[in-house]
Amino acid sequence: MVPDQTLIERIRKGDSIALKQFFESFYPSVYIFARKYLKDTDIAEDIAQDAFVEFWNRKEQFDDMNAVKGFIYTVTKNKCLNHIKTTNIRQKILRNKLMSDEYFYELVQEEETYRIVHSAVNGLAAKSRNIVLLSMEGYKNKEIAKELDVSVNTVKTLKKNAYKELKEKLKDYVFILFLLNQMLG
Amino acid sequence: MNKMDTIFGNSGLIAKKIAGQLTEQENDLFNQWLNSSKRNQILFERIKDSQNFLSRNEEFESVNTEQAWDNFTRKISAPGKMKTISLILRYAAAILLPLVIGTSIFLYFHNQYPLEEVQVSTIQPGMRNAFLVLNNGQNINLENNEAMALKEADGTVIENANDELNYASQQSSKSKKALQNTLVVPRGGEYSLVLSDGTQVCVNSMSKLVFPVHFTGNTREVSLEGEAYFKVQKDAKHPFVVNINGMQIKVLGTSFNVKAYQDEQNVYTTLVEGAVKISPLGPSDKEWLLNPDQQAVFDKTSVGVEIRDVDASQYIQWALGKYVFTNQSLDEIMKTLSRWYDFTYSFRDESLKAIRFEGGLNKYESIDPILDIISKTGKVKVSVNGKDILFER
Repeated sequence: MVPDQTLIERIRKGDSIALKQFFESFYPSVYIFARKYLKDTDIAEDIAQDAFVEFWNRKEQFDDMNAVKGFIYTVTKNKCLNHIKTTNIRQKILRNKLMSDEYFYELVQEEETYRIVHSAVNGLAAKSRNIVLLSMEGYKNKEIAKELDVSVNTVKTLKKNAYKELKEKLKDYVFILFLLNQMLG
Repeated sequence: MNKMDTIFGNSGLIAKKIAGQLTEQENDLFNQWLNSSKRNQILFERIKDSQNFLSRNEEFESVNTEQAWDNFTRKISAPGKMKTISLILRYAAAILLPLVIGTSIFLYFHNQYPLEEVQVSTIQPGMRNAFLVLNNGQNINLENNEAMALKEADGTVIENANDELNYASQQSSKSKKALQNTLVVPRGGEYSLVLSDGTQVCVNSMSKLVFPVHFTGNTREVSLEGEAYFKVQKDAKHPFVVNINGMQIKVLGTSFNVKAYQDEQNVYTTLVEGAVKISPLGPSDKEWLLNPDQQAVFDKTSVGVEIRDVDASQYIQWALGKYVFTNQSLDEIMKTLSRWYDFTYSFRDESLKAIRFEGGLNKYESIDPILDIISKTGKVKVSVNGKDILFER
């Protein structure tokens, strides 16, 4: 995993490999996020892509990945709401909910969380990934051993390695957190 | 501290919590986040739910990123810059100013708190939340707002999507005897549904609506406790009837609001458009006809009805995301707000109850601005202790 900071610097310089890497890791979240506002999958896809276009057109103005992500989510939300305004949403209540900041923040919170877990877990080797997914689902070591047809001790070892790997992958987020903590403190 | 940075930071925390990778210090931060609001707790429950997590994983995998990348590269190489510039300016404004202005264009109790301020308010707005009781007594929790389709014993399909129950989407059963369902909305909740005839109903906090899964016979009858806003589908041959403890409302095709809480002396029926008839149950056959922008106030004790002229739109604002109070007492205002924001309140001095206020607030936002305004009058001291508000001199 390339640290976010380097990635944004490369994107700003017009590095298309960096851009593609960023797009691939972030686009699914933005699309799923858009779908929380719009039922129509084609329009949601279009809007999510357009939000990346908006970012690309003004990439020089960003020097921080959080700002980029915030921008893309916000643009996506605004485009979705504009689209909703042109269509006739029958339920005013639903409309109000969609327009509230609260809803927007919750969606971003949720999408970002899934994205982080998903990319960290998916970066693991297949065997480790299975074990992590199963234990996230609440399976006990014994059950995992049975499921994967290995001994409980093997599960324990694999689990230990997988978690070590996962910890490494989530390291970046620790950094952000400490930074946050210092700023808040 | 920027709100977005906080959100991204918290996502990292939650992700690590789920992966079981939090250090002690991070765990403290996580708990701080978790305990700062009920919504956060609900959000975390949903994120960590394994079924949900797996389906999210699948959803993630199913996104066609390759195709999207191709479209994206085509878009950035195409001309047409002029159009995007004006858009960019608009979005730029949306980003720079977003949180101070908020969604509130509402004048009276203008939200003065920038949302970036991390406020740990114990009193939170309500949300779409209810449970449905099927004919056989089975309880279905609608809180986690997942789309689903249910089936009643007679084959009627009940859709639940976008926080709305729908009985009208499918060919319903033709059986003569209709099964009864009940929608129960708790404190701090609201929900809406479409009945089998297409009638739309928004049900407010602490309310209960009993209705058949499809209408049979000459009338379309439902029973209500609490508050609901009805938009009745026109059908002159089958009058729509709302039964309330002690009275009936007969409707042809119209929209109106009914407020019939058990802990209130009066039942208020407010007509937005069309026509409705109010008939108290009892020895007298007297009926009252309501015109648009009129309100019938039914006194449950004396069984009397008083008709008055009102601005009906004010009484349905709760169904449109706002609470509006015109010249109401502090006690009445708090009664209404406490159902949605789920708090309790008391007056140290009885005379404070009668102080009248005018104004409103966006119900999906914090209650704080309204409390602030009340205390700024200088007449009332407001103290919030957990989920209890004390008013004193």
